[in-house]
Amino acid sequence: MFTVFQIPFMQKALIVSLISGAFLSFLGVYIVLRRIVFVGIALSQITACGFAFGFLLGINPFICSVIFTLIGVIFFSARQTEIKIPHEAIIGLAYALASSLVILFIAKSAQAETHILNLLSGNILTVTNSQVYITLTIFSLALVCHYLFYKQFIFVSFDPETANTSGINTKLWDFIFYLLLGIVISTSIMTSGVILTFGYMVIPPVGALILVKNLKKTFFVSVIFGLIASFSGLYLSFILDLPSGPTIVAVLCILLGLSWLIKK
Amino acid sequence: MAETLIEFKDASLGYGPKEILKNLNFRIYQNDFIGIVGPNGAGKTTLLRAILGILKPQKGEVIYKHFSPDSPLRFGYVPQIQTIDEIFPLTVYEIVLMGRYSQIGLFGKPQKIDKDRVFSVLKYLGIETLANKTYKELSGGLRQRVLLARALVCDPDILVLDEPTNDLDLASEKTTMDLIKKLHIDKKLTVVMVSHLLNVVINYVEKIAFINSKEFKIHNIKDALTDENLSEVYGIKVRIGNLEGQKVVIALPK
Repeated sequence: MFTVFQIPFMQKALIVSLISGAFLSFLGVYIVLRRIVFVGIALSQITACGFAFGFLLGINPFICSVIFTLIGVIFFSARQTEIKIPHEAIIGLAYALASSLVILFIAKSAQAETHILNLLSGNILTVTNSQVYITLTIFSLALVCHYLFYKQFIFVSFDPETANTSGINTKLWDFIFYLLLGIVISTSIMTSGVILTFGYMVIPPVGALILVKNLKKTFFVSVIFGLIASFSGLYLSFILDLPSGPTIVAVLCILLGLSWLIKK
Repeated sequence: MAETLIEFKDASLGYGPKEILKNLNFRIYQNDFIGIVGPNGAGKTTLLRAILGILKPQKGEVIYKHFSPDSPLRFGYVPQIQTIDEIFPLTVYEIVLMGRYSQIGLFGKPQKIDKDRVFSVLKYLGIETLANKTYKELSGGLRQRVLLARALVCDPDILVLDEPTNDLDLASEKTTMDLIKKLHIDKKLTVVMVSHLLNVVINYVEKIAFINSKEFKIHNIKDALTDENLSEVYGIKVRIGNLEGQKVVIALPK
């Protein structure tokens, strides 16, 4: 089994998928509990839109995607209290707009098509050394931030009104939360694609929430699910000659089904 | 004469260009027990947000007492129970500990002193055995007590409650209000609560303010509770009665 992971491109894919799987599954607990799952998918699509725009203009697609994501982060973290439109509708609007723009940008850029298809479906097997280093650096920084500011993130997520009265700047911490989320999503989409990134953020936390009833255990089980699915999904995709991203998502779904069966 | 903790000076409150409450002039003194009553949508929560300092006045000013230059007034806040999302699998201990976060500092982690404080408050409120239960597992009355415990662990100068008896059954309503009264008497805690339930408030508070009255004013409860006064405030005929020592307000047929 481990001989598969002695192949250099599989080693790189394993490192990236384990890091992404663990951290996105951790972050996903916040996303599911804050009921902002669709912010996750909309941000993913905005990031892909940034990549497509970069390809179209011939400028660095990653930088471009980060800029687009930042705009999305500012948009989603601001509380639109004065606009009489449901927040979900604004998220849907952003998703539809970003998805359409991806296709329009691809249509006008011949070289972008292959890259964008990779971004959407994910091809973790083609990650480069520099992408491994970028992933390691960014995810480590995001992890340190989440460790240091756990108090602020959990209080603002759980009860923003009371957090505000006790001197925690809710708007600032919400912005930092979304900023980290956006940067992590940009990095993950670059290596793992939209489907896998979104899958990591939603499926493991849901499975963990079914299985355990304590927040710290939820974080732990979610991360374990992400790690198991990354490892076994990559292995299965190699021996069965299947695309890696969807195979990992399929394993995540099996783990989710097992959680449900165990709890039942 | 008790010290002034908060003073509203010609303060107008609202959101954006919309003014909800105009020219408020009143003071909250140390050891007050004030009930602010009024119908839903009258601006009670807006006023509460201004008292807490999270809503700046559009006009005028709100002045807070500073016990020392680096020690601003400390609030213990109990939000409406419906605003808390029970999907979070947090334990009672974890939720109550949040009340200490402002004292722990930006990078700090909870220390023994914080944990001890949490357990002493849980014990005072009679819920120390629930420390490891999740919020979701508790009844409405116990959830309210957990939120009260969180407000108390920071050793507040003033306890502010937003509709503390909403969604509670009769027994839990009485237990919660008895507990708030006990805190006011035992700990000499200044208490400000808003509620739309007049019959609950009038049997506990010492001062009362009606948010839908022409002029917002804090009255002594004895002065404010007259049939004429309440009929004018609510715009309907109202009678105040007495049942087994408890004050009861009823609306009369037209």
